[in-house]
Order: sequence, then C-alpha cells, then structure tokens
Amino acid sequence: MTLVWTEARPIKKTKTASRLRSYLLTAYVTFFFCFLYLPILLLIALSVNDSQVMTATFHGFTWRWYETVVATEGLVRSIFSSLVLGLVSSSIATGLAVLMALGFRHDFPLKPLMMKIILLPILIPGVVSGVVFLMFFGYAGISQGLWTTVLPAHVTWVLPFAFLTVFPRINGLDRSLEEAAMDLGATRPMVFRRVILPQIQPAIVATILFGFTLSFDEFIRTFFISGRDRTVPVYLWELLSDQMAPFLPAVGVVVTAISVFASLLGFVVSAWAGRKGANASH
Amino acid sequence: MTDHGKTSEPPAYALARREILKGAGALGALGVLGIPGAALAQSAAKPIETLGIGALFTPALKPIVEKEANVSLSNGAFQSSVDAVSRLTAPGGTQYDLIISSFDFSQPVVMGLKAGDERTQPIKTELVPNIKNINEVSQYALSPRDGKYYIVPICWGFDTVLYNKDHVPENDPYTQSWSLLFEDKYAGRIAWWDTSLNMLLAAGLYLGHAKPDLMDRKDLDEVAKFLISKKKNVRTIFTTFAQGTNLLASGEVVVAYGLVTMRVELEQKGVNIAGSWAKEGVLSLIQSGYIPKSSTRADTANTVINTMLDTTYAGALTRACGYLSTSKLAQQEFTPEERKRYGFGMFDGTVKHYPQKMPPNMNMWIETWSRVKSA
Amino acid sequence: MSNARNVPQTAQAAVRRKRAGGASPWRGVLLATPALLWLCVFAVAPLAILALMSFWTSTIFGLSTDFTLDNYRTLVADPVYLLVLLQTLRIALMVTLISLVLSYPVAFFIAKARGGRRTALLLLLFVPFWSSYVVRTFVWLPMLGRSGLVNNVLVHLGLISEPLDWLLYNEGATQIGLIYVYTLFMTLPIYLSLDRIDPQLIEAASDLGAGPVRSFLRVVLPLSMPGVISGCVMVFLLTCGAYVTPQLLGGTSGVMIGNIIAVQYTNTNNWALGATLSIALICVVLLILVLFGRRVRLNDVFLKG
Repeated sequence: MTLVWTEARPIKKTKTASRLRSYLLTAYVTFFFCFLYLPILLLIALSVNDSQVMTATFHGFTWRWYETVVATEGLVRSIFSSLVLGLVSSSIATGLAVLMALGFRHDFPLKPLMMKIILLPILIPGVVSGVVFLMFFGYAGISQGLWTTVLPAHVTWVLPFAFLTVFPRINGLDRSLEEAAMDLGATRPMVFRRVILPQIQPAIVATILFGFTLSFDEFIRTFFISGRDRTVPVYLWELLSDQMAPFLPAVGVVVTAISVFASLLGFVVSAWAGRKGANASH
Repeated sequence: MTDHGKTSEPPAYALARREILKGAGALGALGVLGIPGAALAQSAAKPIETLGIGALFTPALKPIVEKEANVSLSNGAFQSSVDAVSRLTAPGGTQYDLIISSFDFSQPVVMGLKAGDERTQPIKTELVPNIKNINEVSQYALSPRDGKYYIVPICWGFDTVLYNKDHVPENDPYTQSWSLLFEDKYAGRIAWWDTSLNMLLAAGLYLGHAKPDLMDRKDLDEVAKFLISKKKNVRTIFTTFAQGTNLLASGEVVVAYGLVTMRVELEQKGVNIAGSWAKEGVLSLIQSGYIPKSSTRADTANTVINTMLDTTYAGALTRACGYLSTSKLAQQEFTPEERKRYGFGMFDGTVKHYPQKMPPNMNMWIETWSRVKSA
Repeated sequence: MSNARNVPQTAQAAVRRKRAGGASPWRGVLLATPALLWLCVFAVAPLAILALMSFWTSTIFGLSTDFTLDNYRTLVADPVYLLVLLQTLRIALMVTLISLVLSYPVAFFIAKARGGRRTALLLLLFVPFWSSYVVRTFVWLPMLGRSGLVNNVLVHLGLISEPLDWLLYNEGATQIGLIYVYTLFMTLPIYLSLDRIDPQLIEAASDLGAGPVRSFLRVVLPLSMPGVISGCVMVFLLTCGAYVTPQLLGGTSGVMIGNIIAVQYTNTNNWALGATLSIALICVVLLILVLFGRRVRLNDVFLKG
C-alpha cells in the first residue's frame, strides 16, 4: 500500500520533467542537424548561382555549372575510382581488423604494444603519412597508381578505425556459445562460420560502410601518391587549387549525390544483414 | 561548334580527353587567333604529363598545344618554382615529362655545378627547331653546356602587387611601391603568397637591398622581423594562384601579391584590377621548360616545347594569360598602353625589374620564411 | 550433426581444451598476425623512415644522408615551432571537448530512437560526410567570408553595416571548420557504445528508484565511456594533424603544425625538417595519450571491452 502511494507523486513530476527534457533534446538535435546541413544547402545554392566567383551574393539562377560538370570526364573517372577503391580497401581492412579482434580476445604478451601500433596510422599526421608513403614507394620502385600505392595507403588508414569499431562487438561475444558448438563437434572454421560470423555480421557490414566513407573521403594521404589516377577528393582539391572554378560547388553537389546513392545502397545491405544476423542468433 | 570527337582509349592509365569546358566562355577568351574546335586527332594523340603554371594551358591555349603537337596533355598542380624544381631531386623521381618553372631559380638545380651534374635530359634540337627563334633578350636563358641545351626559355612574366581599383585609387602613392603589400594603410585587406623566395625578395627590395638574393643571415633576420611586424595587416596567406585570384575577385582582400597571369585572369573575369609598378622593381622571371631524367616521353616533351615556341601558341600567349613569349615568331600587335600593361617595359628599361634568382643560401631563406609564417 | 560415435572424442577434446585454459595465446597471436604484418610494413616501416629522415639534411639540390642533429637544433633554438605545436594542442583539445559536448546528446537521441527513425537519423548524420572532406572545408569560405552568407544575412537584417572581418581567417574559423569536418568521428563511436547498453540495466536502475537523470549519470554515461574515449581520441588525433582546414580557413593566426609540416614537403622542400617536426608532434601526442591512458586506464577500457 505504502509503496504505491509514495510512487504516485514522483511519477507525475517525472512525466512533465521528462517531457520537457525530451523537448529540449529534440530541439537541440534539430539545431545540430541544421548546423550540419546549412553548409550543404549553401553548396547547393552556390552551384546554381550565376556568378564567376564563389560568393554568397545571389546573381541569378543558372544550370551552366552542372553542364560544365557533366562535360568533364575527369570527374566521372575519379568518382568511379573512389567508389571501387573505397569498397575494396574497406573490405580488406575490415577483414584484417576482424582477424585481429578475434586474436585480441586471447591474452598474449605485447598486447598493449600492439594496441599502440594499431593507432599509428591515425597518430602520424596525414601530410606526413602521405609523404612518407611517397618516399617509401619511391625507394621501393613502386610506381604510383590507384591499386599499387593508393590502395595500401587506404587500407592502412581504415584499419585502426575498423578495429576500434569491431573490437568492442567481438570482445563482447558470448564465448560459451562457441564452446558449446565445439563440444558438439564443430571445428574451429565451422565455429567461425556458423556461430561467430552471424553474430557479428551487422557489425562487419557497418564497419565496411564506415571504412568506405573513410576511404572515399581520404584526401591528404592520397594526394602525394595518387599518380595519374585521381580519387574524388584529390580531383576536387586540384580543381580548387588550380582554378577556384565557379563550377566547384556543382561538382561538390554531384559528388555528394552519387556517394549518397552508393552509401544508401550500403545502408540497405547493412540493414538486411542486420535482420539476417538477428534471425541467425535466435 | 565544338566537336566532341571520340578518341579511342589509350591503354592503361593514359587519359582519353573529351573535355570541353563550357566555362571557357566565362573566361572571356578575347578573340584569340581562332581557337581550333577541340576536334582532337585520332588515336595518335600521345599522352604527356607536364608541371607548369596553369596559365600556360588555359582553355584558350591548351587546345593549340594539343592540336599542333598531337598530344593529350595533363598538367599537374603547380605550386611554385621552388616546389617544381625540387621534383628533380625527389627520391623516386617524378612522374612529369616536362616541367616549366622560373629560369633564374631553377637553373642551378637543373644544370648542376659542373658538366655531368645535369638533372635533365638534353634538348633534341632536331625536334625543337624553334630554339633558334628565341629572341635576343632571352638568349642568356639558354645557357648551353658543351653545345647542348638542358633548359629552354618559353616566356617572360613578372610579379607585382595587385590591387582592386575600386578600393585602392590608382593615384595612391602606395601603388608605386611594394609598400602597398606591407604597410598598414590597407590593413586587414592584404594577402601574401606562401612562398619563401618571392615574399622575401619583395621585402628585401622594399627595405632597400639592391640585390636581395644576396642577403645574408643578418639581412634575412631583419627582413623576418619586418615581415612578422607587418603580419597583422595580412588577412591570409594563399598557396595557390587560384586562391589568390578568388580572394581578390570576391572582395575578401583588396591588395595581394600577384603574378601578371593572375591580373590578366581577373581582368578577363571583369574585376577592376591593376598591378603596381613598384619603384623598387617588380620581380621578373622567365618560365623555362626542362625534361626530367626519369621521363620516358622525351620526344613528346621536346615537341611540346617546340609548339610553345611556335607561331600560333606564342602569338596567342600574351592576350590569353599575360606572359610574353620568348619566341621571335610571336607576331602581335599591341597599343602602347597595352605594351605598358603587359610589361614590355622590362625589355627597354622603362620598367625596373629584378629577376627571381636563387639565393646561395636558399635553406636559410626557407627557414626564415617558416619562421615568419609560424610567428 | 554430431555423431554418437564422435561424442567420446569431442568430450576428450573439450576436457583437453578446458585443461589448457580455454584461451590459447598462440591462437591469438596467429589471428592477429596478418593485420600486424600489414601494419609493420605500412605503418612501422614508414615511421622508421621518418625518424631516419629527421637526422638528414634536405636542400633543394637533394637529400644528404649524413647524420646530423641540426634539424633538432633548429627546432629547439627557435621558439616559433614549439609555440605552434602548443597552439595546435590547444586547438585540438578545444575542438575535442566542444565536439564531445555537441555530439553526445545527438548520439544519445539516435540511440534512443527505434527502428526506421533511427536508420533515418543515422542516414541524416552520414549524408553530409559523403560530400567529401575538401568540399566540407572550403564551403566555409563563402559561408564566413566578407561577402559570405553570414555577413550577407546580417547586413540584410540591418544588424551590422559593414561585413564582419573576424568570422574568417583566424583560429576561431579553423576551430569551427575542424569541429564541422570531424563531427562524425565523435558521434558515431558514442552512438555505437550507447547502442550496446542493455536497456534492462536502465530499467533496473529506475526500478531501484533512480530518476532518469540519475540513471543517466550513473548507468548510461559510465557505460558509454568506451565510445566517448574512442571518439575523443580519434578527433584529437585527427585535429592534431589537420592541414587542409587551417590552411584554407586559418589565415595568418590559425596556423597549426600540420601547415608547417606540409609546407616543408609541398613548398620549401625541406623534407628533413618536416620529418623532425613530425617526429616532435608524434612524440608529444603519444605522451599525452600515455598520460591520459594511465588516468583512464585505456587498456582496460579497450582490451577488456
């Protein structure tokens, strides 16, 4: 009796308080997203601004910057390069990261040291990383190119992020499930395929997606070693440096649109994998 | 009008070009000698990678080179002569077949101290017959060694202070000196260029050094102190020329260190810009081309150099970007006012200028500029 | 699947395994080896080259490989470099903290959302980051410039008569740019961490009488710490090495060490000095991480999950 009575008043108070909190939070999140999107909207506005110079003063509406973009072949090629490179480098990095995370579940000496080594690609400032690769590949006689120099650089860049993303998930797996499977006669590869993999599948897909975003966006390390194949950020930078071209915002919009489309695809795949994973673990 | 002719794809990494930037119209290419429709030659177009200031290959000029030399040209991002010439000594060589940078600065690196130290391939004069058409004033930039040429002068240019006439009256005495770039009058509306050589040379000239490239450590420290004290007047320090022109065009700054090519580009865009004729002297340079030892396309590179010295290109050059060709084949008609503006006065002594030479203690210069920037 | 005849064998294997302790360190090493090899070749070796370079001399005529401490002397003799390094650390710290404060509520909000709404929010979060780093940075120029959006709006509204100069080309602009560019790196790890929290824990807390605020402070926040730390570390590190953003937006006062280093490679051709500055930066950052790690017991957080 007393229990119900003492709870009655707090519930009413918490309801209004929690509603206020909820409103505040929603308002803040809305403001945050506005901050996030304002530059993008500005970009779109600039891309149709009929002005020789990139300023926010409106001079008239025009499609001509998009016409210019469509006629530029370098852009199309760089988008394709970036997309494929992003997928491949992210997959490789995720694969390496998953293996490493699985290994880290066991205790072995030098684990703290390895933890520091994993962070190395992030620790080394991008510019330095780029130039060191430049020298490294130069001395090794490896000619610059998308698959010869840029791919390793991107895998190295994505690896620590991939690891930091999958490790908490893999570490939190219930080992007893695996041991049970082994008791039932499953070999280790089978355990991996039938027990571990379904559980971490959503995490893997999410990591690949994140890695793809990282690789697609990576500029400074790629800049020094890209050779003749431009990725999108390198192409954009050269456009920016070389010309400060008025059609730059249009290029930005096109790039965004394409990568949004590609990543939406990734998200759908991720959600589908998530549902499959949820079913499998039941 | 423009023919999007299909080119068959050269193998591997070579780029099949089809790019017609309609934005070229926006640059207001002033009726240059009939830009040929971009009907590129068929599969015979040879690829070549160059590193030169973008102004040399504007949409008005690039098609000329590509058509006459039968190449498909890809120009890298040019930052400065310092950066360009350093590619010659970079470990692992460089991907560029032809580099064009300032002669007075690049020559020591290109030629090396003595015979055998050259870092570039000798020019094949049979592919570059126009080398005998180099005019008088530019002859010294040929600097042959043992009868061979390792670097070829292509065009003249100069650096000065660019200012927006809408905000800086032309009769302002500051426009007669480098003081415009440093002093407090236009504080907050000034932009410097991020390069050790040029900024320190300009400051050196302004502070009274007759031969600024010979400044020693004491002089450099004095210049550094001066520049650091004036840094508060600077809105920003730009690295690429496009950033510089954009700063002026958008009104972000009204005074900036500028190349003549920047001024011409801005004029074409309709910005009311002028360049100062500093009484201490403008900084002149000769853009010269050279072929790195690591290049496998030397023949193509030689042909391109020849094309740039040939009638069509040389004749179109000045109006298209502001550089003055070194070739005698550049038959152009200019009004006296135009001649003054484009800087022909450098040749008859009416414009005081100082060449952008490489200082003997270049490392000290670089270090000094680093200090100025970090302060 | 299991054969009756195999049961005795698998039972023996299970016993053997349990006797061995269940977790074999060698297996761990084996699994981690591919990644480790990769990192040795592409992360450790380049670092070694970098360290080596810092003892050489660079001139425009090329690299001289004679051992010298001159670069380090330059670093110490002139206070400017150390000052820029300190400024960089300060900026990085501020950006990290501000980013944390800004991103945490958003991550929380998204983690609380369910199903389609959550996916939509995540998507909304990701989309701006698919516009490319370069674009996300340079768009602040027409945003904050003298003839930029902010100034135009303010002038239009009559709040100011002259465009504001101090919006751009200073440290503040650099910070805004960096916060904007690296938001995802903070929000995502926090969200992932919050996502893993078992909702039953929160229920249990409220059953025990904790109000929503208390259950957040005592249950949710501590459990989300790995994500918070992960995000902070990432943003801090990325910001320390930032180059493009301070370059475009920083003007003369928003200079960061990344600029100074970059310019040694792209402009002044003093690779050795650039290497020296990089080593200095890496050492300082490592030091900070180790100290921070000791206080927060980074290893425990990460390695015990």
